[in-house]
Amino acid sequence: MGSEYVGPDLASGTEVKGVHHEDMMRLSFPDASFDVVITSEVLEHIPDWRAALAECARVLRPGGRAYMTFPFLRNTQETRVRAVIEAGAVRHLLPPQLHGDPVRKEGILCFQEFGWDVLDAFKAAGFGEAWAEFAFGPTHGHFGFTSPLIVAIRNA
Amino acid sequence: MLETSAMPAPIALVRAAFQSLAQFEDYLAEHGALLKANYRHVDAVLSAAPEAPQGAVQVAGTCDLCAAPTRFAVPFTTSATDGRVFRFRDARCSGCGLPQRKRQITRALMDDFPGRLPDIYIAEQVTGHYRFLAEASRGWWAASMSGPTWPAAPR
Repeated sequence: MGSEYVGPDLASGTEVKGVHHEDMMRLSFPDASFDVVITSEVLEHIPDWRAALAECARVLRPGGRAYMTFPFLRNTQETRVRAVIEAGAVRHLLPPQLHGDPVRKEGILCFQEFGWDVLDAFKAAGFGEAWAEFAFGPTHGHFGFTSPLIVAIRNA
Repeated sequence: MLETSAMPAPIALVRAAFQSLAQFEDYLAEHGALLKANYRHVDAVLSAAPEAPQGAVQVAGTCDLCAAPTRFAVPFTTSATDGRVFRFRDARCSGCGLPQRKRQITRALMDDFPGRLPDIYIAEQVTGHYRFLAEASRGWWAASMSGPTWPAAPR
């Protein structure tokens, strides 16, 4: 199962021209639907990212795994918040940073860059274990300890 | 584009997991020199990248997912403020077309779910990674894989 975030006025689970819309903060799937949840460069664009983590834990079966990548400040403990939503509007705490997006040509706002404290947030969201995994193998196309894959296991 | 002139000798892929910044720093203190030594052939290519606002360098290697020799395109940008910045996480295999971060996810899946393809929800649909996993679920990929832990037949 795959999805995109198509727009704010749609209910999760809506199909738009063959694209399945999901809001990560309110997934349409029943509890314990999947063995694996994958997000790649998604979490930094979600204002209430902790709610998204809780939703990922909810739709995973006990012992299921989340695999996530996002901008990660590998030498920093605390997550850096770049923007927040207040009274329904975006308030920028740092200069706006837009990332490329396959369904929005104008790009998509980065709300935060994560530090190591994100691992604690995974545990608070219902994951029993969480770690940052770096791949290093220059002849295999993994060139450095630049950005990790976060792996988390849903509580049994 | 610059590229490596010859296929470098393979270096084992290292997957290293850390639960804290302190663990990560200890690891780098202990193994940093070895990692840097294994990186020399890439350094040589990257340091010769052209003085351009943006571009990519091609680095020869072997893709785990393709199980075949390939070239990885490492994009870079150059600016007055940051100098030249290589986006290693977006290094794309010319075979499967996947960037580093998605190849890393897929490799972890292969290792963590030996013998069966799990039920996956992936928060993307109009991407190469989604198509790649969808094809894998239909089984053709299994036949093309030489990896020891991926399912030999579709579920």
